[in-house]
Amino acid sequence: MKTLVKYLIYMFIIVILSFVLPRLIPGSPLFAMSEDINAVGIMTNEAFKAFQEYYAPELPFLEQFWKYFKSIINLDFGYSFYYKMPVNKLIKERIGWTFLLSFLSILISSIIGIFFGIRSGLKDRESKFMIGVLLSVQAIPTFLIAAIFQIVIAYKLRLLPPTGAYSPGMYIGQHGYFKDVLRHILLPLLVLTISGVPSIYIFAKNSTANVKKEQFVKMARYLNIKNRDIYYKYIFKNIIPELLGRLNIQFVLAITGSIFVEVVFSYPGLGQLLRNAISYRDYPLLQGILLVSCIYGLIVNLIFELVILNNIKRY
Amino acid sequence: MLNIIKKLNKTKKRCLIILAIFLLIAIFSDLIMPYSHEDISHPPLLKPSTRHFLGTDEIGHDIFSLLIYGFRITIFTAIVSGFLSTFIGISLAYISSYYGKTVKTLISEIANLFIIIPEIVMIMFFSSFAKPKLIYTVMAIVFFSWPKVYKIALFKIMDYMEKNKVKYTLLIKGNWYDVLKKLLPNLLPIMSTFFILQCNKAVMYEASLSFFGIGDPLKKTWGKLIRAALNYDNLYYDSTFLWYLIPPVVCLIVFVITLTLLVSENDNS
Repeated sequence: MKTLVKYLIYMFIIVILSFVLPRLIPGSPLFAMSEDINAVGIMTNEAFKAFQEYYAPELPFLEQFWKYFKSIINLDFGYSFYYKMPVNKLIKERIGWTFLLSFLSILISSIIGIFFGIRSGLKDRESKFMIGVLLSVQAIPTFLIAAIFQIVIAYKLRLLPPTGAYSPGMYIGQHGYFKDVLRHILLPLLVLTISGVPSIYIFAKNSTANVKKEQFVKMARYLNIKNRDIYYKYIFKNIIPELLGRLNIQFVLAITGSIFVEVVFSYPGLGQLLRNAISYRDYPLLQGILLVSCIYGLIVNLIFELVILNNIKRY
Repeated sequence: MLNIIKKLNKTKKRCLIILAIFLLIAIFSDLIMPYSHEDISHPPLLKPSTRHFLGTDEIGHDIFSLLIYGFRITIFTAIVSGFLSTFIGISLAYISSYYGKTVKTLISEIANLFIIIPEIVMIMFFSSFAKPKLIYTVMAIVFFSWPKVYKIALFKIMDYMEKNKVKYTLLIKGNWYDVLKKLLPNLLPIMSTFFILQCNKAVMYEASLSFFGIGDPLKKTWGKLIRAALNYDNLYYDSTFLWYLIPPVVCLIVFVITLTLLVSENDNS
């Protein structure tokens, strides 16, 4: 119950932040005179009307906030200038692709990272070169890895399609649709997995090595318990809570992690939406994406905190 | 200072040398640049030659000059935002561990919130609303990246607070300055580690923001250069990307990896 209240307060603070920041930041359109915006021609008249209706800059501050708050409770994030559509409809359309891409990559990179991490954590010696390579991969911004892969695999070798989530003109249910989607997802998925594996691997390796040093593992060795049992019952079960904590972070970052990859490969998820929102200064859309990704982060955290982390005890 | 350097292992020494070279290039970039970074009088899209080491871009900038200018802007941005976020994070951690109770709960709950919400979206949100100026980019990065420093620093400072010398100081009613004086020798190593990590992050954030086209278009960081290259339509038709895209990418990657390896704990055992 206490946790729920805490998260409700978090939620409220985020709504306040998303309301206050655009009004405080110097140079924001809400700050400038309304004639200015019209004169510069950033927006069409119609968009400007929608903009004014949504932000209502002429109302007093508290009333503005009340209006904003009510519309958010009703899941109304305003009207996108660029796409000329309600923001929540746009987000609903796109978020599926993002989830498909990021959940798949979390699944694959966790399996690979945890498996190899535990294996090398159990070994006594480790290859410094390997760790160096992994650290380097972790350090490179994801969009650079994506761009390099796009150049080499898609443009130079022409093995996989460079952009999009499906070939233009394809629709759900058409023969070969599934295969087409699969072909398009491979490259972004590969890049996301590559950028995701190192952190999980290093984490799993370190926590395994730490548990291995514990007294009860040493004791178990003296008692001649089978290695297999030591590995499974004593070590693996004890690193589960830490691994879940790590997965929690991974899931929170699911939306934002894939943004850059989506932009490079023009994958029709939230990332592309965000990019367009930024380059066309589509503020309601930007605000909507911010709110949705924050709400998503909070919900994931809440689930992990309530259900999983409370139910698992250390052996 | 020299003693600390001597103690480092081989990899870290190499990293330091590379870093020193980067810093020197950044400081003396005015002397190295053959042309001004604002000079667009060259014929566009030249191939590399002795006059233009990396050719020219589609507007007529000399790419080599832009790259060298990028050293200065990128490294400057990194150092300023790295320093500020480390400073804010550690001071807040110190304040909350010195006063404890309500202050600590309040600040750490705020930090928790900032950690849950995806910081890169927040940074983008902030800096795309703001005027396209470098200082606002730096502000956005600093404002949303101190919580992680705070979290770890708080943990460490709380640990040191339990030490005897600090306890004695508190017992004889030492004020915050006296306690800080006792803590400082212990804090300095983690401060420097954080500083380097935050510099690293700042470079990544700046590059990511530039990739989305956010920020001052006149201050050509490596990120902006990469974005400009990716925007150029015929990048992959011939080998233009070899001298347009690859040099800033290599600089960025080398810089980031050097910083990462310099503070990594995994390889000094």
